[in-house]
Amino acid sequence: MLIAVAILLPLVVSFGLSGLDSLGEAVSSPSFNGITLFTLRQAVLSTSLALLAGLPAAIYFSRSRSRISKLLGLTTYIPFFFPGISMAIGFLAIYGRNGLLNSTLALFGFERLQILYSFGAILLGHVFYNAPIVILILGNALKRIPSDLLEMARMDGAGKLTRFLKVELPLAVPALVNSALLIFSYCFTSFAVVLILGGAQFATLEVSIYMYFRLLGRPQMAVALSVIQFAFIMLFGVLISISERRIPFEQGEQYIEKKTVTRLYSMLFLVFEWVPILGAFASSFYDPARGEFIFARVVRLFQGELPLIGTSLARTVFNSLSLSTVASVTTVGVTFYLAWTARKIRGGAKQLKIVSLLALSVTPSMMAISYLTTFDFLPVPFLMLLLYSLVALPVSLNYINGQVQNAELDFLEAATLDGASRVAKLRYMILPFFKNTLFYAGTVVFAISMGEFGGSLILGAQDFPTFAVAIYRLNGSRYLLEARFLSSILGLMVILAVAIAGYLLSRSGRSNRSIG
Amino acid sequence: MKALSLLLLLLFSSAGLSVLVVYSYDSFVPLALETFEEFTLKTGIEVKLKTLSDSGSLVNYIVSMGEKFDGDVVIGIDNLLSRKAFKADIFLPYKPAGSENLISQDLIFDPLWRLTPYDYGAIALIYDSQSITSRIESLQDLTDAKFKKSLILQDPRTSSTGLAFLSWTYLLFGEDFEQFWRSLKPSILTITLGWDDSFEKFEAGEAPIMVSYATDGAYSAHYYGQADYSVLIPQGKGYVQIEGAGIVRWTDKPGEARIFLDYLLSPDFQRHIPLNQWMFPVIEVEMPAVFQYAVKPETILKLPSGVELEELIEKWEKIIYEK
Repeated sequence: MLIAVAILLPLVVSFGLSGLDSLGEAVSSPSFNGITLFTLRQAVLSTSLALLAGLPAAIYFSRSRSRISKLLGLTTYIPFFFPGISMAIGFLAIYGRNGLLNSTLALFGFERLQILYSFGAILLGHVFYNAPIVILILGNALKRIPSDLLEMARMDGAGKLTRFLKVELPLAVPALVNSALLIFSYCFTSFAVVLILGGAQFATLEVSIYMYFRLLGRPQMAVALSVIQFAFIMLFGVLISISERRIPFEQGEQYIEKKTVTRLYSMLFLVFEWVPILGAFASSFYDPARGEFIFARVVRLFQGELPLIGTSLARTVFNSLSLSTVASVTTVGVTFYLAWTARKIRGGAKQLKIVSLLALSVTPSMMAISYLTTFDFLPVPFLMLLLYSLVALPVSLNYINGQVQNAELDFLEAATLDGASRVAKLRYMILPFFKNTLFYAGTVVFAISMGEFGGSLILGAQDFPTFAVAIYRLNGSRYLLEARFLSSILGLMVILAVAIAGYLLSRSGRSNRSIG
Repeated sequence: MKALSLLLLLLFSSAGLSVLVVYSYDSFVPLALETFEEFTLKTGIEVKLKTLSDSGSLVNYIVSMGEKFDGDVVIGIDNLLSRKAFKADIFLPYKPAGSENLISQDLIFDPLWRLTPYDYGAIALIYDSQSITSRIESLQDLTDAKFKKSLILQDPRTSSTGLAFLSWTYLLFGEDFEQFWRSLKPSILTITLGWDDSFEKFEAGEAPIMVSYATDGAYSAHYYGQADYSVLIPQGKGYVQIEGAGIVRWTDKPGEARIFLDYLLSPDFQRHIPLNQWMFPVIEVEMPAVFQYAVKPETILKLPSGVELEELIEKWEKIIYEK
């Protein structure tokens, strides 16, 4: 209830302050149709292309346990954890006129390609970011199809293609729809990709909300666009929830078979996904346009204040680390409490679904402007903390809730019979039991918070710049190379955090199994 | 909740000294680094510079923040953006000491002295003469298919250079300016929020043509030893941007702000303008030799006061977002 209020109250208040007139003004403004149609068009095309790009890799992922399949599994972390700002800057380093790709082409005598700052660049960015979702959702659904069903189809003489089209695909339709809706929702609210890879001539609703509020001095217009966007995403959220419910079969054993074409495709897909990330790291120290290393410029970043930011690099890192840590503890605490309570009350699961849906229906920019309009008396770091917690809440809630609902906790009843107090049970039994779950969820929230910059840009660009905001500001100025270096550091920090958490989780899983 | 807010405030707020807060655009940073320390040494007044990408965003930001805006002085509001600033009544009138030394009375774009001119320069198209071998004689030439995706420009809603270019096209094409922009669209590679971002992309070789300043030939000669950038002012009809600085109406340091404005018109500050701002100073100072490559327009166009900038921007917005 409190969370629903935290989400809806500022939206309602800020809209109430702006009034219906502003909604009318937004809808009748000369650019509104163009912005809305562009938002829809790019989302439809991006989703279709991401599905097409992800499908063959998802098929291979579902039918193989090879290293490539494991790497594809690792790739599914990209959309959820790799910071948007690092990804966009990585694209500049790889696909720019003097980027890695064009320099390689030129080396072999080919014409340089103009990839960036176009509609194509936006689509490319969205495919990069979202195709792994197809592997995660559709690939895992295909993996779960019982192997005896597929074996029977094979014995009945069905070829691979016939079997895929007539048996696997129909069974995986809900997963396909689910991934399509999720990708559509992400692309519809796209921020970093459109802002950095497109340019001001391309604006989604989310980018326009930021621009109207922070750059164009028209807050009412920003609030009106937020309301329109909220209505759209809420609709997608409902559709996503419906599509999540329809799982048509019980989980089966993975059916393994040799897939030559999809294997080859998957290798290319991995190159497409990992080259911008690895290439961005590699090009963080070298300026190909000027043919020189940038060590001296990097060293200057650590001396005194960062240019344009008005504070030191250490301070921005401290701001990000402290906020992300506090957000991670708060969010995990709240979501664990919600999941635990939902376990014990009737209809709890439904209530959690509504909370999750509400949190999914708001975007960082929307929340940031509604907070500034409604709670401007509160300190900016507190508002940022609230924002990070809400942005990461659905992911944390889904993960923790899944673990809590499936846990077998018979020992608690025995402890109650033995007279253990609530606090004792929490301290000595419940928390140790869910230690790994909470730690992993905390890392996920930390990673999401470290990379968040749309809302941070609106809330704290002037008073409380975070690391990601500093990178964005430097990138849009004469300090592009410095931004490239720092974005690699941010990417590394997030990847390391998630990798360490994943490793600890898998190690404790193994040790638990060996004990059991 | 209250306790947490207090704790966060204590954790995150830094103990601040009383300083003059000056706002400007990103590309002002090099000039500030070179001069503000000297100002502090001479006057004992510390200056804290805060930047927002470009002047258009800066004015919008001040207007939307109102009295919550924490700046004492704003640098970089040009003759066009001043209309919006004056409408919002942001600045206090003040005629600085040294204003009698201005090289031309034409530079005074506000007779009430709410904004003090500190530099000026003509808007121009610059292009990489190694990539663009064919001659460009007019803005209309840019609409040719051979210039597809070749132009970087700035958003007139956020950038003073972008707004100056939009006004320039209106002055050159009159009511046909919308048609010109429709024809120009295919030639645009990208529109950036500020000039800095454009110039970084231009220097990185993303596109060979950019909307910038007629002094960029001097910049090129200074940094690369030759004037690699060709400068175009079609038919010599140029648009001159005059940048001004003003004291924010609700400052609590008006005395220090006035001393700071005096400093902006002093030779100590003005002599740093050519090689940092790549603009012309407003008083007589010794000019660097590379400024021989700076192009001066033969005729200076001025936007009549009756032309509504908001209308021009709305028309532009519609054209750009038409798909």
